[in-house]
Amino acid sequence: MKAETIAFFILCLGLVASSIAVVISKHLLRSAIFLALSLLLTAIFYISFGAELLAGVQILLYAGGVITLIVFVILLTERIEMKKLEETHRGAIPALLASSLVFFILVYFTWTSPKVQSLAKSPSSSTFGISKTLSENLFQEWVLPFEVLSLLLLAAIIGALVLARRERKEKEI
Amino acid sequence: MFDPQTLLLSVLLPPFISFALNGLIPPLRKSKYAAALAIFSVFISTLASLILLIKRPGGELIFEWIPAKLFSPFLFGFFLDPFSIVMFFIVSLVALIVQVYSLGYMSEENPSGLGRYYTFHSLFAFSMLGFVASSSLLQIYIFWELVGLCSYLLIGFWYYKPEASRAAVKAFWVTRFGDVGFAIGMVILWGATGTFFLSELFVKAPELPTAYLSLCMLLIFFGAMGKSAQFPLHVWLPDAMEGPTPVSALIHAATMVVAGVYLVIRLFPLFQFTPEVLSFVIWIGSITALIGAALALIQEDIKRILAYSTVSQIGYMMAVAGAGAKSIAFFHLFTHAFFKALLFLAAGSIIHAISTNNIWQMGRLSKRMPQTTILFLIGALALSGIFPFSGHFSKDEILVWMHVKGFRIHFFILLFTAFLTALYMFRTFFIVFMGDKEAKQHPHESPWVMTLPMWILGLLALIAGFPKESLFKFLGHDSESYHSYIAYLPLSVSILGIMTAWSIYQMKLFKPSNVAEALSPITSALEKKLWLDDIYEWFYRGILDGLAYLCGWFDRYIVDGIVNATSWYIKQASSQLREIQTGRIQDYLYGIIAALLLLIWLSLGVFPVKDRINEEIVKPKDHIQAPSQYLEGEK
Amino acid sequence: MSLYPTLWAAFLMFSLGLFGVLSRRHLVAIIMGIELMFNASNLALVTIGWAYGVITGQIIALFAIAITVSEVAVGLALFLLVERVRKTVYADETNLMKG
Repeated sequence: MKAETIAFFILCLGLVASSIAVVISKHLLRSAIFLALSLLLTAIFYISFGAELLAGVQILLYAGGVITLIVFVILLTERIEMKKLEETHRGAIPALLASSLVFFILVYFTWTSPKVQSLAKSPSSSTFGISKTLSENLFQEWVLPFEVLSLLLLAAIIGALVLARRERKEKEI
Repeated sequence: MFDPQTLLLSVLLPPFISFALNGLIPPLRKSKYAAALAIFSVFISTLASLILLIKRPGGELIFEWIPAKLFSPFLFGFFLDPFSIVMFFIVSLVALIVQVYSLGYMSEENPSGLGRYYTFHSLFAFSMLGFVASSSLLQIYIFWELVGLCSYLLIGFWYYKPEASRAAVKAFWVTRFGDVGFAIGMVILWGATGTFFLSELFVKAPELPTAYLSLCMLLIFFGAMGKSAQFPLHVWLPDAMEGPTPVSALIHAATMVVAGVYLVIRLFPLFQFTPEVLSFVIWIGSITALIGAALALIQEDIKRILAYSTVSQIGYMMAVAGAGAKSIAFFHLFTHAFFKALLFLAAGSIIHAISTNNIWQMGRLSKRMPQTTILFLIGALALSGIFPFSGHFSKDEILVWMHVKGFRIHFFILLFTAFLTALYMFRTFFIVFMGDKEAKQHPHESPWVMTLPMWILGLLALIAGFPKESLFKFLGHDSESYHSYIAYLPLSVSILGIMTAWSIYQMKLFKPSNVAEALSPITSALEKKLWLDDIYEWFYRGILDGLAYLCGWFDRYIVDGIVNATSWYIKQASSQLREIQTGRIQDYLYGIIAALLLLIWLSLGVFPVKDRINEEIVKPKDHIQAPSQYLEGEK
Repeated sequence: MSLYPTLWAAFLMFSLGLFGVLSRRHLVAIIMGIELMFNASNLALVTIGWAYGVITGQIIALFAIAITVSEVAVGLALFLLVERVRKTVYADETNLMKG
């Protein structure tokens, strides 16, 4: 086995392990940290698949922005009392059954699909990930979705502001 | 420097920049510089369009509004051809003159109102210029609606006056009613040909079945009828006179209302394949000309007289455009823009001086306001078609064309309208400026900032007819001169009209009321505006209310009955079903998971998705290039 | 780099995220589970795009990231609202919809 392959499997294992840690950790902040870890590992995957720009976006937006936001919100609401940060599961067994069913079905279909098999045998593995190609496609072929998405982001900003704003007189729902 | 595209942009962009700056920066809008900015921007446009008129280049400017490969509607473009160049000149020049004039007319407005006024004016100038040069139907529609919006905003400029805001809404609704036809026709045409671009449409549309094309063109003409105030959709234009008078001069006389005529001219290559629609256009135009002139005869409000006169003159243009002479229609549009704007500005000058619109409260103004009198006279003579004023040439051309091409009935209608035109115009003139009773107020001549623009327009109204031959040559119209007795008929009919007006209203040879009694059925019909407003109201009250009542009954007893019965059963059933609602989010998610599994099963097992990635969505060799190729390209 | 292990890692990540969404009680933990699922689908998109040799996978992943960010913003704002109004942070205590 080449060193590259070993590193790749270690990466895969790290990804899965950190994902497990996200969902079973009793401590919410620890969950968030593991989520950041798994997102960073995904970024490494992106780099190895030739998607440098995506990796950058992943690190900046996800690991940087989203995780910070989540940690902020946790600290904002939990008032740093350790007993309130305790996190439990409810209905774990049906959840486990359902999610493993999804997992096995996905694996089954990709394993038996001839198309995926042929792809796995001979991936085209072209390294086209330079940002120039991506942005040229983005701003020509995909420009309409892009513009629509910018509208969505605007709506999300306004919506988040409106929702999170603290009104002077709060009505009890 | 002077290549066509730069000139095109320097016509279009300055008003837009002025609008954007004034619109987005309130301190600027509320300052006195707003007006200066607007006037300066339209001045640049005028200069650029003057250069265009001298150099007469052709050319187009097409750009991708949203650079996507999949959608053709997002291509935008402007193009220069003889019609758009001349129209540029008309629009920008009249806009410039009117905006300068407004400085005097609106001087009592407070600064923020004035800023708003000029902001709307800039937007109007931009959208009208954009409309003129648009090269795709969709873009024409967009600018068409924009000028409609400006018209609405400016009619309702004094929105605190109830009549003004009602008139604005009425104008908006009636024109919108026509625009529905335009939109539907446009979309049908697009559905059949797959393009909005005029040049492509002209190639593809003639191949469509004639009935299909006729339907499209009829619907599109419906929009033109609304915008150009053609019978029976003309009812909004007289009410639109509630707006400031300079607005009426610019929008409701010279530029926006003729947009419908311009649209017919622009789409003439399509209209010519649909003779039925063209004959409809002629009929509508002739009837509108006659009715407009007849209604103008009995009005007492000076602006309404001019408004009905505009309706009537646009009827002339429509009729001759329908008869196949788009260049003659355009020529009349050209001369009409100047003399009708002049008439409105002169009327505005009077209104500014004595603050009333009623002609019976005016009189002997020729002593107090000599300049305005001369200018109004020039306009009236031009409108009546007296040699050598500009209206003479264009109206002559129209009537001769109608005669030569064998539209006999229309010819006589229009000839009679020419008589009426002279009659109502000089009725107004004699009552307002001559007469024997003095106006109660003490009118004074308007300041130079109002008279100077009027003089320029007066000069244009005087000379605009002379470059007829070169204009026709430029527009590509083979102007044959028909030297026959027909050419003298319009002139003599107009002189007859003036004499009649003179004998009735100046010399009092016979009383107007006697004439009115003699023709009482017609007069009473005219006084009721041919009952059109009543018909519309009756239609609305009677039919719509009746329909609404029926619907209400149906809704209350039949629909509600069914709904109530259904709801009772559902209530019973749901009290059994409520047990599965736990209220816990995650329990509901299991439903989503079941759906997800079903989807996976369907898409992979039962209906396998065709592998299209390499075929249709993205072609790798087009879109994905190896980095080395880029490096080579950049060297 | 190989296709199957990466895809399966992504699937596993997706299922773990699903498990988190289904079973966690804390609302922020549920949001984190959703993040995990989003991330897994992005990874699968990029991987498949890489195997096909097309850039579409990356572009859709980019869009998905933007959508995720808006989702997180709105989701956390909603969470703050729920926390303030209902005085709870647990999903099973916000059961107004209980029939």
